[in-house]
Amino acid sequence: MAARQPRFNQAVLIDTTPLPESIPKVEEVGASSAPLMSASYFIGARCKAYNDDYMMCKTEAHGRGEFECMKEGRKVTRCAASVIDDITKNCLQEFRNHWECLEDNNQQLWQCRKWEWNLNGCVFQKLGLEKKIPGAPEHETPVHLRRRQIYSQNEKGVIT
Amino acid sequence: MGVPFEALIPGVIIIALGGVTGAGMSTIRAMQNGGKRGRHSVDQWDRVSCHPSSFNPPTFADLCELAKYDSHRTCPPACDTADEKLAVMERDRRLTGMLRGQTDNPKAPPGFELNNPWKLEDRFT
Repeated sequence: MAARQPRFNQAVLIDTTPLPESIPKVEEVGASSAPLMSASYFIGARCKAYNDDYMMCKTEAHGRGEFECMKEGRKVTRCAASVIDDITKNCLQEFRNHWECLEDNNQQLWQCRKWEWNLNGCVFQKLGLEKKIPGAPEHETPVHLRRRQIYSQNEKGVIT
Repeated sequence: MGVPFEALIPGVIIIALGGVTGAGMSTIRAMQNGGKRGRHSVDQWDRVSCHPSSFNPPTFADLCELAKYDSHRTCPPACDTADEKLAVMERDRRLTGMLRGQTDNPKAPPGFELNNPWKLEDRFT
């Protein structure tokens, strides 16, 4: 990437030329931001190895690697899509309740703990994926399991 | 001696027009947000459709590829602060047709991977 900032770049080009046949096809993830936010920890739980692989490929390419890391990128895409697919097949109502709540609350997770617990329970039972916050201190209750809320605009005090 | 009612008319007009303005503004805001509450404090993750060139490689890769879930083809161009788009929200718009639209389809509609815009600029000579 050039260090120079682009100027007068109001114009955009939408290039509809498909990728050449030599590059394997992958279907993109179709979920938008709130459902992805809602499913993010489950995507992390199932796809951590693929994601780490991809990030390592990108790091070793020193900021390039768009072409070299496509294989890893396809795995990341497929894995994320499979998680969304499984959640929508098994826990659709809980999933929708949660991401609709997120979307109505600036996509802030702490505003929607009630729905999140329902979703976490369903996903753990049906799919075996558990939400774990990476790097959270182990001797404390993780923030998403605390019963007392101070800042939420929906739930204040002890949630039952 | 009582205050004549004519003295209160300007105050009533001011308060009533303030109410009209507030109602109008909130209607426009609701329309813009598809009836949902507005987004606020939208951060780099949501906003970046370009990357500041000072980012170190992991963050850079992160922003380039993972924030734009659909792009295996290219990294976004360097940032132009005057023309910042909301990248993740812009992706929502490409998926649903509305900036605040949401969908939970696992697979994107056909053609989605090809309608990612490239920013153009005039050539420097």
